Amino acid sequence: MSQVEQPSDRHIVPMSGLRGVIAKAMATGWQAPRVALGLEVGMDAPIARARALTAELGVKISLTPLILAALARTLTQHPRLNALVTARGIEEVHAVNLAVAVDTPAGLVAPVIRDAQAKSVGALAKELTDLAERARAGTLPPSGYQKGTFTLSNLGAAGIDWLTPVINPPQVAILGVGRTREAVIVRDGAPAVARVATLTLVFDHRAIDGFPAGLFLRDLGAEIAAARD
Amino acid sequence: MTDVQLQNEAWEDTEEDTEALLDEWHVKAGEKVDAGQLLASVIVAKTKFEVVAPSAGVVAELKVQAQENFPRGTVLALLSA
Repeated sequence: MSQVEQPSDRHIVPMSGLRGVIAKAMATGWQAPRVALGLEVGMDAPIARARALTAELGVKISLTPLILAALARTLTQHPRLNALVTARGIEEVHAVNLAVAVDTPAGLVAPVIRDAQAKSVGALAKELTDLAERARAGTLPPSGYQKGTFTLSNLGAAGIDWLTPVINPPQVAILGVGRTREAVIVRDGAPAVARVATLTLVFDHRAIDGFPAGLFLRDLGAEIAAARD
Repeated sequence: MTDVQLQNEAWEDTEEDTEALLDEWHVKAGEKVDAGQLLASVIVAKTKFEVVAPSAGVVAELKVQAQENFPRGTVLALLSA
């Protein structure tokens, strides 16, 4: 029905379908008075942990489920970041329901891992693989995209260093993760090479101030670098 | 008259205030349709659904316009026998 007439010198993509849904959500998310904070974290320990877990579990464990586990632990300690801005106020949700940005042929989707605080790294990895597959196939039901309390956007696979993602409304905050890269750092007063990644926290300043949001990012960075299960 | 609605499975386990988007109509008012014919494409959250004619008939009225949101229980169109 709504086939767009195509001029000869360009291709017009209608802002409908999933593209339209994404556009509306981004426009809403952009209205939040947002601030971005950045932190570089050491990734040597998480890389080693991911390798060990891959050997132990017999399935490929990437850095993402380790970051999700660290997020779940840290968000439990910082409830203001695991929250929604609604007409009722700032809703600090008890369950940590992590939305994870997934690229699909149709566009960006963010399926939700519910109760992430109660799941192991292995369970998070398995659920993420399953959700991403179903999201790409278009078979994930609507409820699979709902009830998120915080979003992770890991663009490491795209090869970029850092990003400032748009908040996934009505959530208070989103974390962007860039690629893991080798960098020269100072260790015990001498230069050394280590693998690092840059975390970017974008948060809604209506709901939380810069200092407590900074403490959250600091704690999250420590939690990721420690690479606990 | 037969009501055309979005199938119940689309609303399963969704949040109470969830609205669906009527992305596209594939028929016009006055058009004759067969049972099972594709009438509309709908998106709930980020999942696509196809709404088909529950019976053969003529599209009497489209009650929701394309690119409009609608809540659970909304009649999308009326079919006359």
